[in-house]
Amino acid sequence: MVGVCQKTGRSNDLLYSLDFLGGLVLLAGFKNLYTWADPQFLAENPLIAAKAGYLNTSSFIMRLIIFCGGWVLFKWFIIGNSIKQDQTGDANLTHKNVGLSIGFILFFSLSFSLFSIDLIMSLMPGWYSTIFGIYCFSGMFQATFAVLALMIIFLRSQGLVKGYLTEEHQHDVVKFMKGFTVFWAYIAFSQFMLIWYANIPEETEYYIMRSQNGWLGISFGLLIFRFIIPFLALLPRAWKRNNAHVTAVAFLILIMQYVDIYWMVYPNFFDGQVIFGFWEIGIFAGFTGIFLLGLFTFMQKFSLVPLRDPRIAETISHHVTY
Amino acid sequence: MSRKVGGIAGIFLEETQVLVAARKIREMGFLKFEAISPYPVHGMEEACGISRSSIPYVTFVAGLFGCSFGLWLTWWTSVVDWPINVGGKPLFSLPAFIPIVFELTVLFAALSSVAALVYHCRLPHHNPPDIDPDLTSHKFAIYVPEDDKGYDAAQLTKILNELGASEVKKVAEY
Repeated sequence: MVGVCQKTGRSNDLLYSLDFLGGLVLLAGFKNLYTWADPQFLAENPLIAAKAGYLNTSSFIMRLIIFCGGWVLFKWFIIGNSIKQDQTGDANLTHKNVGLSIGFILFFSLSFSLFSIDLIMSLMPGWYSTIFGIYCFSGMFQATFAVLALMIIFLRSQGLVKGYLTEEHQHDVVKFMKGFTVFWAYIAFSQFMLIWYANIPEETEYYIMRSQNGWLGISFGLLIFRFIIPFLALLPRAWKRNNAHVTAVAFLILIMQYVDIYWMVYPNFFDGQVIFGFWEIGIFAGFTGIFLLGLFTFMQKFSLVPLRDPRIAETISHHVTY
Repeated sequence: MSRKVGGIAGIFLEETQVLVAARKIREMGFLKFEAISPYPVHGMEEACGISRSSIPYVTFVAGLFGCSFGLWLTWWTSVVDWPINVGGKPLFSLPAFIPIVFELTVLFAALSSVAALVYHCRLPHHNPPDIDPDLTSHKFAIYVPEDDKGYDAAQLTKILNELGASEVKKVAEY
């Protein structure tokens, strides 16, 4: 199972480099995006100036380099080992990858949390939520499983992984997708409820912005289309094994991931009006295109299944009990 | 009081053999036979012809009940029975009640699932009798009770041996 998924997720290192490039593009409009980078704004807002030890341009860029660089390096080694194993069949590479993967989990969960605080939360430098990093992480994870489910359905429908990646594996990935749907709702609600309950002005600002000027509908839309509908739609076993159904739910989740990020970022600009147009779609489509290009070139070059992994036999006979 | 029943047990050393044996025994028309294994064997439910359990439905209905009960309980206690103004918030403040509703949903769903499981497995009724202590560590068994339809000790012994059983024994009643 892990082995099979490992390969389907192998090509993401390109995306991490892209994240970094995307981050560099941000620097062009840095002062317009991040008010804390503007010395005049800091002079007027001493509370935000007090955060300058963390929120300043040079350390922001340095963190961006460390995070993205770290992700690329980890991917490079893990996937490199896997590709090497395809050729040499050395079982030790699997053990090496176990260690590397544990390190990656630690590094990624910490760095992604800070990454989302840097990129999204600091758009509104006066506001803070200690759970924000986990909120972004949970949404990212849910969307990851949606992508994985779509990729598995695609690979299976093309007959490329016959006998290696079965309906049973697919069922497990969809179960994870549902699990992280609940996890996202749990984190999103935890963030909302504490802010709503405590009712402190500097915290409620975030939700007040998102309940006016047409944003209220999108806020409720997130609750309904990102949690309630996927949750109910993924409950029955038979539905989890229905390709057309899973594809539809996975696309819904991916669209809602986009809406979620849009909902986190956009109310901070444009006087809180909901605007959506060519730029929003175009930039997303561009990144999707580059991601898919990287994915398919990778799949053409290397074996989809780590055939010489010592644990491959165990994974193939996987079976989900009733 | 459960009726005392004995039967024939074939003991196998390999997972693959016991899968084949379970399928064969089922195809012979036995209904009450058991496959015993120290760990879950992939494909065993199918080989034994076990249909899907009804426990998930119990969980779902109990969860729905717990959810509605939680909503009713929080509404009744804070609006009807003992209204208190907390921080100027409405009496029925849904966000504050969600954790209670959630916990009650989980509590009802989980406890009902366990109850349904106990009922479904007819616990604490113990069936079949003790066959071999090694069945909890590395051996597998197919056990056919003598009250099953078409039970024939001699024929069963022969078939289990043919299927590769390392040992076939008559299990004493208990």
